[in-house]
Amino acid sequence: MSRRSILISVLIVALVALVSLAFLLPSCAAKVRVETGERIVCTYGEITTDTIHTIEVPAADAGKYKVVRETVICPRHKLLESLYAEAQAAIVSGDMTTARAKLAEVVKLEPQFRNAQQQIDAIDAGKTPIVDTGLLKPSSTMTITSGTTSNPGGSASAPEKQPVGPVASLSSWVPAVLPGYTAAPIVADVFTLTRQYKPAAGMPTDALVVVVEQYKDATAAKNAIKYDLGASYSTGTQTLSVNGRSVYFGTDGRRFAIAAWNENGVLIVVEGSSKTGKPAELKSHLSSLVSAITK
Amino acid sequence: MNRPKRAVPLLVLSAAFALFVQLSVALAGRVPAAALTSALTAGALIIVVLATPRPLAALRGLSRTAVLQSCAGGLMAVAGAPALIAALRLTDAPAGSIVVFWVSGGWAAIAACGAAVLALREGRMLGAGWSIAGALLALAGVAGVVADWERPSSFSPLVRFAPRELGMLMGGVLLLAGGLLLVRAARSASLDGALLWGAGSALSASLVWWAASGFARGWSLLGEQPLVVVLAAIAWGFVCTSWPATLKSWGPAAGAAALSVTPVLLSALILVEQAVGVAGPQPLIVPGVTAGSLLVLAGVCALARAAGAAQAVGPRWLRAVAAVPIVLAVAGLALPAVLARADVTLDSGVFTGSWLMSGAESVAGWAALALAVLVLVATFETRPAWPIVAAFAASAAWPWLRDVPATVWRPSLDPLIQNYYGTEYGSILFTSQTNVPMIGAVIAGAAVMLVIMAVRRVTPRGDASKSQHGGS
Repeated sequence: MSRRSILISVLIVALVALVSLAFLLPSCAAKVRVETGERIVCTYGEITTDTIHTIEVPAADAGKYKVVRETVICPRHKLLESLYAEAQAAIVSGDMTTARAKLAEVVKLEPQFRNAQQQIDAIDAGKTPIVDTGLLKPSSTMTITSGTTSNPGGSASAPEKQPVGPVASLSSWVPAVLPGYTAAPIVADVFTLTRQYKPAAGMPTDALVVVVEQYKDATAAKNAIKYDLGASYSTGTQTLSVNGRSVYFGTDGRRFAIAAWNENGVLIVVEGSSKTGKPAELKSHLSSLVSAITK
Repeated sequence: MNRPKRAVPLLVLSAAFALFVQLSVALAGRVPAAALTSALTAGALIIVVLATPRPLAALRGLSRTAVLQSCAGGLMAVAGAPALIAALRLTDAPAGSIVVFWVSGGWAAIAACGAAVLALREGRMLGAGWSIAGALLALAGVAGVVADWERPSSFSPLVRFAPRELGMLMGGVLLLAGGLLLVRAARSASLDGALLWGAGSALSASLVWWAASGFARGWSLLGEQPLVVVLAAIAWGFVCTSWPATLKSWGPAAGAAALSVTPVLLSALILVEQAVGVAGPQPLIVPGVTAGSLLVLAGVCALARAAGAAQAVGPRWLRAVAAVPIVLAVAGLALPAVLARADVTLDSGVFTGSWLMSGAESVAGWAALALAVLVLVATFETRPAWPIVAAFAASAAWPWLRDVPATVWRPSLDPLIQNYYGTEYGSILFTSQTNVPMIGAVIAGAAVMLVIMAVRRVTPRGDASKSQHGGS
C-alpha cells in the first residue's frame, strides 16, 4: 500500500474516531430534567400541597424521581361534610332548629357549600327542605391517589394498571399479590406479560419473575417447555403435580430455577433466582407459588 | 456482456435481499437457528442448481484449490451470514427495525468499506472516497427510514442488545468475504460451479448443526409456517446466486448499493399495501421515510460512481470550501439537536423527564455529515451529476429528519420507565432544537453542490480531468 493510501486510511480512522467521540461525550455527561414532588388536591378542587419542582439529575438517577398526585378531603371540607351530614340527619328527624344551626355553621365557613344556603332559606320560610342525599356519609376516609409513594418499583397496594389488548386475559396469571412478594407493574408485550416480584427478607429467592406467553395451541406451549425451557433449565428436572397441573421444574445448575406449565396454549413460567446459589432447593418454594397462582 | 444484462443480478439482489430481510425478521427467534439456516441454505442450493445449465459439468470444472475456496466462501456467505441473524435474534429482541438497520445499512456499509479498501489497493482514491460517502449515506439513510416506521420508534441500536446487534453486523463481513472468495474461486472456472460447491458445503454444515441440536423441534416449528419458510429460502437462494454475480460484474460498491435499498423497498411495499389493501392505520411517518429514502438514493448514486470515477483537476479553493460543511457537521454532532420529553405513569408516581440529545444522537446529525462527505468527494470528480442531484434532493428533505432521534431508549435511564413508551401509560415526544452548525453544514453543503455543478459545467471535460477508470 502506498504512503498516500496509508495517509487516507489514517484520515478515515481519525474521522471515525472523532465522530465516535462526539457521540460518546454527550452521552457520558447526559443530564435529565425531571419533575419531582407532591401535589395534593382536595376533592373540592383546592390545592392543599404543591411541592412539584424541576431539577436536573444524572440520567442514571432520573428514574428515582417521580411526581405523586393525591386527591384527598382536606380538614376544612371534612368538617363541612360532617356538619352538613348532621344537618341532613336533623332534617330527616324533623329537628329544624338543629338543622338550621348546623347549616349556618356550614355557610359561615363556605357560603357556596352544596345546598346549605337554599336549605336555610327553606327553613326560614317555614318549609321542610329537600334532604340532600348526594352525601350519604362523610367521606372522611376517602383518598384517590395517582401514585402513592416516591419509591420506585411500586407496591402491591398501589392502583393496579391492567394491560389491554390480546394479552389482557392473561393478567390473572400475574397476580398483584403473591405471598412473601411485592409486585412490580405488569410489562405487556403483544403476546406476553411479565411481572417482577420483589421478595421479602425471609424468602429463599433474591428475585422472582412470572412470564405468561400466549401460544397458538397447547402443543406449541408444550413444545416450548420441552425444547426451549428444557434446554436452558436442564438440571434437576422433575415433573410436579400442583392443583391438578403437570408442572415442569428445572434449574440452570447455577442460580435460576423455573416452574412452568401449560394452560391450554398459555405458557406460564415462574422463575426464581436462588439467594444461596442452590436453585434445586427452590423446588418446594416455587411449587407453593404455583399453587398460589392456580388456586 | 451488455449493460442491461449485467444489471439483472443487481436488480434481483435488491429485491430478493429485501424479501429475505423481511422474512428473516419474521422467522428468526421463532424457528431454531439451525433449522432455519438449513432451510435457507437448502433454498440456496436448489436455486443455484436450477440456475446452472449443466450442474455436474460445472462442479467438475473447478480445480482443487478453487473447490476449497468455494466451500469456504459458501460456509461464510451462504450459511454464516443468515446463521448469525437466526441465532442472535430472539422473538422480538432486537426490534425488527434494528435488525433491518444492521442487516441492510450495516452490511451495505461493510461492503462499501470493502470496496474502499479494494479501491485504495488499486490506487483509486476517488473510488474509495465515493465508497466511504456511500457507506455513510447508507447508514444515515437506512436509520432515517427505519426510525420513521412508527412513533415512538422501537429503533434504539446498541442500547439493549448491543452484542447481538454487533454479531448480526458481522454477518455482513461474512457475506462480503464469502462472496469475494466465491468470485476468486471462479476466476479460472464458472461462477456456477463455485456457487454449487459453496451452497453444497453450506447446506452440509447447516444440517450437521441441526442434527447436533436435534431435528425434531426444528421440524415442528418449521412446519408451523411453511409458506414463510419456503419464501425466505427462495429469497435467500436468489440472494446467494446474485450476490457473487454482482461482486464479479460490478464490484462490492454496487453490491452495497443493492443491500442498502432494502428499507426503501419495504416502505414502498407498506405504502402500496396501504393504498390498495385493507390494512390498519398507516404507521409510517411519510416525510421522514421520504427524507431517509432520498439519503439512501444519494448513497446509491455515490456507490455507483465508486467503480468508474474520473478524477478532476479542479480548483483547490473549491475543495477547501467543501471541507467547511464537514467541520460544521462534526461540530453539530457534539451540540444539542433534539429535546426529548417523557411522561410515564407508574404505580409509584408519574415520571416526567426531559433531556437534550446531541447531534450524534439524531439521524439529522449523521445525515448532515454524510452529505458533507459526499460534497467533498464530489469536488474531486469530473462529472458528479447524479450524486449531486440526489444529494441536493436529500438536503432539501433533510429538515424532515431534524426531530428524528437515532435512539429512543437511553442506556442510563431506568428500563421500567422506558418500557411504557408508546403505551397508554407513557409517551415520549421529540422536538428539534436549533443546532446552528448542523443546519449550516447542510446549507453550506447545498451551496457547494451548486458551485460544483456550475464549475464542472463551464470547465471543458478534456482539460479538466485525468481518467481514473477501473473496476474493483
